[in-house]
Parts: sequence; C-alpha cells; structure tokens
Amino acid sequence: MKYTDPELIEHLASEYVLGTMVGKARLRFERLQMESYRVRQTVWEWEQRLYPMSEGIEDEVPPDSLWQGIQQRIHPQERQSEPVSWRSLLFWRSWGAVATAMVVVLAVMISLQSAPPGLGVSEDYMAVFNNPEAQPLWMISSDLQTGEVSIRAVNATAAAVDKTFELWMLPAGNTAPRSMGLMPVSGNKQKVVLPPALVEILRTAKGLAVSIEPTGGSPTGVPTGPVVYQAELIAI
Amino acid sequence: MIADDGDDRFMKQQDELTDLIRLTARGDEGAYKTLYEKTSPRLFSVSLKLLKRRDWAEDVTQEAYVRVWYHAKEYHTERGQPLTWMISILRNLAIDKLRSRSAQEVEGDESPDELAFGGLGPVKQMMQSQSAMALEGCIDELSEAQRTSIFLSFFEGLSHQQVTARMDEPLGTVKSWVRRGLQSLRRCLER
Repeated sequence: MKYTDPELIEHLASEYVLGTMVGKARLRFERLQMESYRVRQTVWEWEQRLYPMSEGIEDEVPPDSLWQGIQQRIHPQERQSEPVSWRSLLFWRSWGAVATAMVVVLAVMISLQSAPPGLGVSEDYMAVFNNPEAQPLWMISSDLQTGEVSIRAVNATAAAVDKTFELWMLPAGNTAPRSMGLMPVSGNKQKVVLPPALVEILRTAKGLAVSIEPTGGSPTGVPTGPVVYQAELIAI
Repeated sequence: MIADDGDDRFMKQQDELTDLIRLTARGDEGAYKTLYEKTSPRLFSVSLKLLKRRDWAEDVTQEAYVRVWYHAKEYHTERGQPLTWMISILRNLAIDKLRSRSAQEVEGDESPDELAFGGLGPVKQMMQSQSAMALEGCIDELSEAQRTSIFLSFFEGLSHQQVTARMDEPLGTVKSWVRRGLQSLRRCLER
C-alpha cells in the first residue's frame, strides 16, 4: 500500500482514532506513526477533532483505591512487606520476598518436549509495548507450540547507564510475575525459548510487563524497579 | 455571550492542566496529584464507557496515569489540549484491552441480549468547549446511520464487525457509513 497518499493517511488516522482499526492493521499503523511525523500529526489532528465527543460522557469519580494503586506504581521501592497480592494485570503490589534468584534469562534454553496439540485456538500471541505516543518500543511474538518468544526492539533506547529493561509475564491468579528475560534495545532482536512450565503459564497469562532493573536483571526474581510498560497478549 | 464565557473557562482549565503537566514532568508530586484530581473523573468515565467492566476501567485508568507520570515531559502542544493527550493515552490502552485475548473471551460469553443495541446513554450533553459545540453541530449533519455507527465505534469501542452485528447491516455498508461519516465531519469542521 502507498502511504504517501494524503487521503489514505487521513482515512487510516481517522479509523485509528475512532477505534475501528483493529488487529494487525492497528499494529502496522502504529509502526507507520513511528516512522512518519506527518502520519503522527494527522493522528493528533483527528484526536483533536473527535475527542471532544467524550465531553458528552458524564464524569465519574474513580474509587480512592485507584490513586493508591498509582502511588504504589510510581514508588515501587516503598512497597512494604505485606501478604502476597496480585489482584490484576495492572495492579502491582508487594510480593514479599518470593525471590528465587532467577537472574537474567529464562532464555537459557531448556529444550522443549512437544507442546500439547492446540484446541483449535490460535497458538500465536503477540504483544506490543507502546510509549504514550502509541509508538511501538518492543514487539513480542510467541509461538506456544514451540515456546519460542521473539522480542524485537523497535524504538527502545537503554534505560540508563547501569539499568536494564526486564520482561515479565503476568500469570493468571494471584501469583508473582515470571521473568521472561532482558529486553534488547534499539534495532536488536532477541529469541527466547521458554521451558514448558512457563509456556503453560503464558497460555493463560494476563499480559506482559516491563520493569527497570539493575544491569543483569532483577536480583530477586521478581520486579524490583518501577514497572514502566505493560501490554496485552493478543491472539493472532 | 454564554458560549464564550464557557469557552474562556475551558481554556483556562486547559492552561492550568498544561502547567500541572509541566510540573509533573519535573517530578512535582503535588502537581501530579492535583492533575489526577482534576482529570480522573473524565478519564475514568471514558474508560468505563468503553470497557463497561469497572475492574478493567480502573486498571486501564491507573495504567494511563502511571504513563502520564513517566512521560509527562513528552507532552507538547501539538498534541492538542492536555486532556486530549491524556485521553489519547487512555483510549489507546482501553482499545488494546478490548481487543485483547482476555476481553475477547469474555465477549464470547456475553448473551446476545447484552449485545443488542442499548442506546448511547448520556452522549447528548456535550456542550463545554467550543470544539465540542462545533463537533456537535457537524454530528447533527450526519445521517442517522452514520451517526450511530460512529458513536458505537467511539463510545463503545466496537470494531466494524461488531458494529455490523449490532446494527444488523452488512459489513461493507457499515464501513462506508463510518468512512463517509468521518469524511463529512472533517469537511464540516474545516468550514
């Protein structure tokens, strides 16, 4: 498709902002936004055109717990040791000292037994970590049959001199996140093969998350730094 | 004029939000808290309208504010009003959530009754900013079908397919309603 046609860009941007653009088209368009300032600008214009519609929705004050949850997310170092709690995908709390030193990468290849046959459902999942401008930083794709996870850094720069980004899966239920390894930065690709036990957890996982950790990864096996990005798993 | 007064007030609010975002970018937690207090009822209501489930709406709103905290310095005026930027962060997260595997599974469990067209709720009270009033005027010029399909997509986060199911019309028809409706809105707003 020719992305130089201004009318086409207008059309794509309008459907993106409206929310009707889905699946791979949405991912492709987010990629395109990353590459082209003009496309981003067109999206911003459509946001300004359409979002005033939200003024028609009656305001609703969120519960106090929401602000507390935000506080915990932006001050992860202040977590107190409370009982292990993992209420939901987006609600990070203390996991106590769960710590098995699961340093760096579960990528350490543990060879796979053949995965159980699919149930007619898609066995490929993908997730995209976007920055707030909806530009992708990393794209993750996984094949549950083989346990292979590939992580592509699209637009991600290093966290800081002595810091690194670590990828986590968020298991269903109240259990602590499981490390999936360290994230590559800009232009790099990384392949990880998950052991069958982790593939099973990934199958029902609520999503993926990225935290900032010391070089070499979390020393405790659970996130120790702020959780800066989260992404949904999308069946493709 | 009443409308101008309203718009003045609106612009003042937006300027105040811009300042709060600037301070947030410097790590001022007091400003961030004020920003949250001033904007969270709006963001939460948008999230709730899209996602329907309170737990999801809370999660997504929380995630949006965490991103605002970490990325406040990336806000610039070309993004539009501060609230536009914040709603964009929220809506993109909410749409990802709606299209996610977990949401699709829940959707599959929904009874057809719940999926039936249930009206649009209080979307008719848009009347604050000048841009909202202009938009409302332009929306009034759309055909009923264009308006309904755009509202369903925007407020409920439905895909073309889902709008098709709700309105019981062919996919191609729905797609062209949405497309033409959006084109008309743009033309009308540029007048």
